[in-house]
Amino acid sequence: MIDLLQFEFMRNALYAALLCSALCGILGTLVVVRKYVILAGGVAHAAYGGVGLALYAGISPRLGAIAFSLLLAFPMAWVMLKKAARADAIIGVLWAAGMAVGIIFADLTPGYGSDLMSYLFGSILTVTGEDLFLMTGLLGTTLLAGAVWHRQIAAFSYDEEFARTRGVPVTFLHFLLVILISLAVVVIIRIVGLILVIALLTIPPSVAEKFSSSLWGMMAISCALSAVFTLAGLALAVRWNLTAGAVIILVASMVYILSMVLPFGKRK
Amino acid sequence: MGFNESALSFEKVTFSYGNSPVLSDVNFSVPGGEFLVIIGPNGGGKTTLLKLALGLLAPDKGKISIFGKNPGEDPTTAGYVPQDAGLSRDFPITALEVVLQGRIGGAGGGWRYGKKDREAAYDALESMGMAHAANRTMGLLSQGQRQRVLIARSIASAPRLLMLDEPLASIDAESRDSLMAWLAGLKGKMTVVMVSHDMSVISGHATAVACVNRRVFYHGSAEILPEMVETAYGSCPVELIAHGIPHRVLAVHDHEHGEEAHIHD
Repeated sequence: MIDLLQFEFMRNALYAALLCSALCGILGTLVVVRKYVILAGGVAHAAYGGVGLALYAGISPRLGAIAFSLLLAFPMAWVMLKKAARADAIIGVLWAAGMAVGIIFADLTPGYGSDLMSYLFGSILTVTGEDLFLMTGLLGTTLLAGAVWHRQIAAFSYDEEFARTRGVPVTFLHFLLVILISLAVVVIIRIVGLILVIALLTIPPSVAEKFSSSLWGMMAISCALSAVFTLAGLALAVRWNLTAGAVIILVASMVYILSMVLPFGKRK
Repeated sequence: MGFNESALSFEKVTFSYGNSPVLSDVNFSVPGGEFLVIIGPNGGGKTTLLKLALGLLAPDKGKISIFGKNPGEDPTTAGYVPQDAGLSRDFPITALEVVLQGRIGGAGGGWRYGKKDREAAYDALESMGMAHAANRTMGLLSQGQRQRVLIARSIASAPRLLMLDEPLASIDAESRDSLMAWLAGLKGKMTVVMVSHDMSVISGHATAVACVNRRVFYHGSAEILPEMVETAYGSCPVELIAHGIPHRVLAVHDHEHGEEAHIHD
């Protein structure tokens, strides 16, 4: 493993794993406590629509994924904010429609091949400098937003109505988080693919929640767990020549099951 | 807390969710310093009334004012204690952090909680008898204790008007008495408006009562007039124990349901 680090693709993979761990730890915690899980899933699958459209139009698939995910994230965020009846069903429809658009436009584009597969299952070993730049920028933006609004984010995550009565800009923060989460989903798709991205966003915080007495503690533990999962998964995948995304999620899932079964944490 | 100044007033307020009217032509005014208990059947509009007063909902028609201002205009005027049932017990947060949230939107400002915020939060916890649990996780406290922390969160901002939504719901009898005793300690410090399905609390603490069932019947003393209950609840038998009319039990009528009663959530 160590001697593999002389290769640039391996160093990039390592940096990507660490950057994504930080994003998953911070934003995944908010996905879990704000109950954005279905929204994150919807955005991930909508991203595929963007990839299909971009391939057809001959522009960068990543740009297509970002634009199309954000486009569909707004109506999803809106129905969640308004607590619309059947908000989850509406998100489910957008989720599937986004995916369908991707498949159809991929059909219409000759010779798309392996590119689409890498969006389904991720390809951490082909991460580029541009990917790392995007991840770093997103992490910086997230940390800055957290520094400015950490009290308001904690308050509206715990009790949205009370936060409103205190003058917290709930609607603004809701959309800000949805945008950050959507962008995070798109960059994390690079690592584990759109099918597994929800797992990487939700498993570390779900384990961490059992051991945390503050949102910030939960984020810190989630970051650490994500790093362990992605690095261990990457090492095992390289060792046995398996799909890295799947191995990462399998490692995370096993730890999650152990944490559910074993009597650790603050509940006992 | 000036006398004669109106803490909360509703003028000709109407509100509906879609096509179902919840409140119609609501008129009442609560003078500063009162301890008002709002009673009424499920679905009668009690919670809606509070949310209108807080600015969380906007009325279809009419005007609501809190100390002469619009609802939600000045976050330092009104404190809100929501139903505990709506909050996640898994959320990782200590009692102190919850109470500190009451300091957001005040004069403090800035990027983080300051020394004054912490002192105010401890004082608020102290006034609810919860200072000992400041650093405990919310999910590990009992229901009655959590409710006291939520009240402390509201009073940490020193509101002039405190509004509580069913603070006694799903609390055992012993915690209920203790919670009412802590709430009674707020009398004279702020105006209190408390929604309750439990009419026995009126006897000990209320200075005014309102019955809500689409319309609001306000009574400026801690008596429940049989007509109020008759109108608010229809003709269901209701046991009343109220100040002024001790241990009075209203006559049990034939069980005809009024048209407006029993609109469930």
